[in-house]
Amino acid sequence: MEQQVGKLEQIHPILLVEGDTAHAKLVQRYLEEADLLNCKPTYAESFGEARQLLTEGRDYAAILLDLNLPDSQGFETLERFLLLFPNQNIIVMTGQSDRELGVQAVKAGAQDFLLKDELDAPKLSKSLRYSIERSSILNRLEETQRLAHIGYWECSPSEHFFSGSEELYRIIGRPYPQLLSCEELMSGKPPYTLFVDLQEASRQQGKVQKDTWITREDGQRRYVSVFCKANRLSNGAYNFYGIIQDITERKQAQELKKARNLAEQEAKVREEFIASISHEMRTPMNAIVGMSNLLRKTPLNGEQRESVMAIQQSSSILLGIVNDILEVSSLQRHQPRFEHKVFRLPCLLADLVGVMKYRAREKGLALKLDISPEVPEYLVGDPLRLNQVLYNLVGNAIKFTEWGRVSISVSLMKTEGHRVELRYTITDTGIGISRDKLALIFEAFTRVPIGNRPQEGTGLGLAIAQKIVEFQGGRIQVESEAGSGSRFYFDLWFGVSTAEQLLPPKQKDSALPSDQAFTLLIAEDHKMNQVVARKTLEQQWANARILVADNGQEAIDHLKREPIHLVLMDIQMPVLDGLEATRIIRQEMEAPVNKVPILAMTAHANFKKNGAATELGFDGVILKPFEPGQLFSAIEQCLLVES
Amino acid sequence: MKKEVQLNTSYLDQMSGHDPATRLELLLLLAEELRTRPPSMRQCWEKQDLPALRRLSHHYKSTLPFTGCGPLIDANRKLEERLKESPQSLEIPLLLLQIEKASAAILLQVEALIRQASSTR
Repeated sequence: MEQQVGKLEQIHPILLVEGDTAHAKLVQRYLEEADLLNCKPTYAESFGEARQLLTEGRDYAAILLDLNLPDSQGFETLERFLLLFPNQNIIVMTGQSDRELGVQAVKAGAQDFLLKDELDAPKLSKSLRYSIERSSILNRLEETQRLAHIGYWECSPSEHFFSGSEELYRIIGRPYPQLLSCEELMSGKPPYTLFVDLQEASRQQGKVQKDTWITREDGQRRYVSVFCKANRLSNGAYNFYGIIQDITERKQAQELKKARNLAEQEAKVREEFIASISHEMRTPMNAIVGMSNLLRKTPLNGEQRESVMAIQQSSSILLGIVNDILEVSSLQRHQPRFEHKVFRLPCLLADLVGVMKYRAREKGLALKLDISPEVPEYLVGDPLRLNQVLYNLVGNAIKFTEWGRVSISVSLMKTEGHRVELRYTITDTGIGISRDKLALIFEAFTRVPIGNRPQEGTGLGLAIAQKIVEFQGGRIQVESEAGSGSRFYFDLWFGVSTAEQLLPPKQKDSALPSDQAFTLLIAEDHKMNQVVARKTLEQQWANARILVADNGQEAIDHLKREPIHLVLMDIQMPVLDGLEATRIIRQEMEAPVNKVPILAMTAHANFKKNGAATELGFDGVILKPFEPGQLFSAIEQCLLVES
Repeated sequence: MKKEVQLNTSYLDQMSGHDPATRLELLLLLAEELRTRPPSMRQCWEKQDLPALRRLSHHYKSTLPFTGCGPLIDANRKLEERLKESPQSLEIPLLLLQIEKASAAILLQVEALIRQASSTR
């Protein structure tokens, strides 16, 4: 009800175009009397006057149009209006003798016609009301179609008739109202070939639908979905109507999604390829890395020793490259897990400086560490990842600095409850980076030439460091200019802790004595690998008792029979594989056997990632080919912690 | 293929730590592998037990570096790949044949080394 009242109260501007002033006054009076419509009439005496008003952009709910004006006569008056203002709601007023003209006017596009002789207030208001409502509905429909990019058309070739909506014109790229004629449409020139084909197909099949690319009049390519239906008329001819929807954006989104899926698949294949290659590379490196270590323990002359050391250094570099490639490939696809453990920041930084000072000293550089007094000593976070980032940045700073110093500083940025935001800054007096190269230095697989120096390493270190910081919510920033040194810094949040919460550190540095007696079980199905592993371990610990199991089941049997201090577990074995054997040991065997340290031995690099091995019950992973030092260190760590 | 099937013991020598006893032990194990593994693989193929064939090929991969024989290592690697990615590949029986022939040729050379090593002990 309220809605109706609202409708009645709405004021509808009406343009009255009438050459006869007496009739104009009469119509104006009828409009005032119209009780169904609240009208506000504007009067124009001629075509020119009306055109002026409409051109100024005034909006009218309806135009009451007399066809005989001083400056325009008959049907031409309507045609001129429709051509110039095709969206206007026009009601034609004719004399009794011109009834036929009125009918033609409606066919041509007028909303209604009124006979002047029969005109009264109720008839006028009824006609206006219906035409305004119809026009409003059509406008809404047109608006909806415009928003949905749907155009429609009707075509009757036998009557040389074509009519299309404004949106149709927009879709085919033709300025509206540069109206399209039926003949033009049927000429079959692009983009109208589509309509001719559709009409021909629908004549045979009744209706057709297809999605296709079209080339618009302005040359643009658009993807459209079209539907066309044919109606057979009583004279045997056909007329057609249809809709056309521009779905280019949807199509492009689909193509984009397809391309993205393809790219993801390619990335996955690449990841698998990299993992597989690294695996293949590691196997022959077993000989190079491992046996050069054994070789060093045999009697060698000076030249031979140097050669062996060169092999060791080169293979370490090669291992570093393989590990970098694996790491960056992994970080591009997966978010790593970050530890939340208590660590002592000054110790971490002192260790870092301890490692790097030799490299700095070799180049005569000063390596400075500065921790602001307000920085908490004990933090909660991932010390290994932090160390990895700092190691990378400091290593780069030393690499690209020929004189002067490299400084590491840590300062407090913010405090929120038990959390602090710390800024880590690495400054050097090195050769710097030109501004145009700054944006590229964090790109993986992008090598930025710096100075005239030969490029060392894989160039992946900064990409890895950036990813690690980004995954923790920070970002490494750089300020540098060629020849003026560099300043790298990043901010990260850490929890604040105390010394009491810090677990006793593992005695990493205490080596297991070479005469230490312990029992170690190698679960490995490959006989030759058994011999090699046993031989390597016996050379390191002469009093160690080395047991060998051919599969997981035998390993379990050994553990049931006798005390064993450590298990080296191959993953892929017959009877019972290493994963299942470890599960049984951890979940089904009784203490203390279920606590025995187990180190996984595998050539699959991915096994070491994301803490998967820990979840599966392993205390660590030794990647094959193992460096004896790495193997010994992992064994020592387990046995020292256990003791 | 025939010309390239040559035993190269440099890897085996290194892995033995240049200890003659360990070297002989590894040679004996290698001979055993070369003797028994290809027939087992052939059996799996004839039974069309492809998962078992793939397991044997994977295991053989750890053995073959001790032969230092590139074509043999390559043929076995390809076999494992084909079994993983395209088990219907017509290349599989051909690769198996290559592995059998190359293994037999290498076995003769390994046995000669064993005889030589045993006589010097």
